[in-house]
Amino acid sequence: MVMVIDELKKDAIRELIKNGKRDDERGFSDYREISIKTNVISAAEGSADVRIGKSRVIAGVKLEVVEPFLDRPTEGTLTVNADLLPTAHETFEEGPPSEESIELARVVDRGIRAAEAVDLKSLFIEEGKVWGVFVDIYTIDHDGNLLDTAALAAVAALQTMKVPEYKDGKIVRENLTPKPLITIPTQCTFAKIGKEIIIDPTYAEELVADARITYCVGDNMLYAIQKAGSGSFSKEEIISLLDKSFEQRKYLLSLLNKL
Amino acid sequence: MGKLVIPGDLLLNKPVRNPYTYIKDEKTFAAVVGMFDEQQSKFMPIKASYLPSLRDSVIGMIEEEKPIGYGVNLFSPYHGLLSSKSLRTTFNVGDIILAEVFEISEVKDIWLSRPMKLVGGEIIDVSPTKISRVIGKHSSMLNVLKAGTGSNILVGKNGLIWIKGGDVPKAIDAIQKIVREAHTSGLTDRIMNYLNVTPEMLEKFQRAPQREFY
Amino acid sequence: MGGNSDVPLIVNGKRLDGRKMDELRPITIEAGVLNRATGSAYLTWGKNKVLAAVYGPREVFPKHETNLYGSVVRCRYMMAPFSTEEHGRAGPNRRSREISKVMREAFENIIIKEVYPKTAIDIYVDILEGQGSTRVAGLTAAAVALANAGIPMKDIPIGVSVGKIENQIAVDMMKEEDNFGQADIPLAIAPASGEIILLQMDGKMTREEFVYALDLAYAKVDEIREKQINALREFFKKSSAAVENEQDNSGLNTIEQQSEPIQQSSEESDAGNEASRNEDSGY
Repeated sequence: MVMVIDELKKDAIRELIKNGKRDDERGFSDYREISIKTNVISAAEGSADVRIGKSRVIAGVKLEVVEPFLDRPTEGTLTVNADLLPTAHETFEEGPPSEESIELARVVDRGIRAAEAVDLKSLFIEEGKVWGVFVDIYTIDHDGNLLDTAALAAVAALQTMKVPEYKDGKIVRENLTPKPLITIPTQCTFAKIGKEIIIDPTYAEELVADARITYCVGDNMLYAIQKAGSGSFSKEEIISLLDKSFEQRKYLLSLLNKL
Repeated sequence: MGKLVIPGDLLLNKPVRNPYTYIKDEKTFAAVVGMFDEQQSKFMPIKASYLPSLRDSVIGMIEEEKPIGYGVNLFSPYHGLLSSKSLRTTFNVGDIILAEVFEISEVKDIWLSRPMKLVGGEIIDVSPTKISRVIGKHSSMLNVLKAGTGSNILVGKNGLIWIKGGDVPKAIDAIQKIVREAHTSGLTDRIMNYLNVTPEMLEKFQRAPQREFY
Repeated sequence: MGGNSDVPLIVNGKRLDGRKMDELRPITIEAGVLNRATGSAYLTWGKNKVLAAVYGPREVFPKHETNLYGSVVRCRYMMAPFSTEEHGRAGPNRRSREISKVMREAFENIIIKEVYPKTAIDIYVDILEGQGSTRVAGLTAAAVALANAGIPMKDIPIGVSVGKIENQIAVDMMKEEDNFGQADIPLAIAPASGEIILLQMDGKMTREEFVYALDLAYAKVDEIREKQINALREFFKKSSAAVENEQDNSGLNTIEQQSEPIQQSSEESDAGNEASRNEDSGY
């Protein structure tokens, strides 16, 4: 297979973008092809294998019985972790979490948590015991926009999550009850290259981007924003991209509703 | 006189190149805090790190022996290098030298020539942007300092000043005064008063062969 | 973010500390408070106490991080273990690393990196006491520290937070509002361009509420900027003497004449050193 080296494409991409084109001939508002497969890990209580273009993330959801937080004694807990595996890209090194992986986990967590997507109140078992929902995001192939790929995988895994039974002090994983999300948040990431803004950047486009911004939205509701990179945005751009995120929501929801 | 400007303040409506300013839309803006005299178009940064120029005199410390010669600590973002090829003396790590910048490489290695070892004396450190004030036009200020203190004073463009002999505390005091009042005018006269240097004394000093006591 | 309605955040139209929705907490800033650092600033914002220090431009360690064509900007935001009600663990954690990243990116926008290639500019932001919106307080302080250090910048950015408490939009979120409010938006704005260089949001807001919140943030830029400018002005007054002016400007360099760094021409300045140079070795 012949691969063109992304690092060498930088100037070419800048030129293309300036002229309103993208390397893979997409429009500035088009996502790459998205595929979502759920229930791919039978040991997990929820799972999803999501691809956006060549980026690929597997998310797994495990439920354990834990102590609730002191200030929310009757609610379940939610923890989102992300690992940018060395498997996914030659620049991902082994070792303690990089700031990129920390940011990815926290941004995806933020959106889901702010949306109150998981019905934590229904995860109460008995005094001092609640279900802890652990979402682990495994990035396995990186071609840009791991943020949206991870968010989609986490949401899809949670949407198809099944809660085991807790009986006589034991977890019975054979008896499962579906627990779909109460709201489904959708997330969009944009990259700014020069003065142009594109959705769903590839790795090569990310290399050239001056700034990046991610929105997590619901129905007429904004849940989270994260701006990254050393470029800047005008107030007008920030608002216009929020509107674009609402537009894209219809498309992304249609994919998730098929699950 | 001037007003205090901060990064982002407009200085001139035309583009002028200067490391402490930047150009946007054909206008020049301040990039550091400084005093800007609009009438005379003069900009003096309050504080900035040293940027080397060819033929600058600098004062530094031998830091390392290398295969090529010596590494010199210039107490600035960039290092000095002394090639042992044309050296007549050897140096030891820790030696203080005065040297001249004779080449600046693309990656900002500062090649030095004509090193001179400085023994004894005291070294003080001021912002490189104030050094020209300490020297003065045609060394006018430096001569006032020397005449008024009897000290030998060597000034490095990188902000280091070496003082030996004469009344060293007085020299340091006067230099601090210069640095504090660097943005003002009439400073040379004020320092002359401060050090009790009369115009006659100064003239005599400038005409007399420089006494060198080390 | 919780939206926990057990804790009232607005009582009789006022916030828990008596402020109106569009009021900032009191801010004080002092520049040049540290001796060793190249530049520094100490800032109080409500009960927040922030110390910002800048070192550089300086040599880059580890060497492999060096950029041959510009400065490398590094930023570390940390909350001291004694800074909050509960004792915190010393050292970086995931939250502080994320905040360090977004702060660094904001500064990378306004620092002119080409002036000192092959160097590092290190920014240290320590929250000594944290009481809501510490990252924007930290950024506001670090901006002053950078200017105090003489780091070339396009602009001095300000940080501010806006949010939503009990369905009302407010500016400058204090700790209780951060914890129990409905939305929190920290931002940083570069006043010269009006552009946003740091932006995060967490909570629940409609589009209209979000737009209103952004406008409210912009309305506060000048007030915060005043404090930064005053800090730099006070430092200048302290470290220089304000003396009445005359004509003699010998030594000041004409900005026009230079097409290269501000230095006097060689003959003028070296004359001083030339005279003492007749010896060729130590003495």
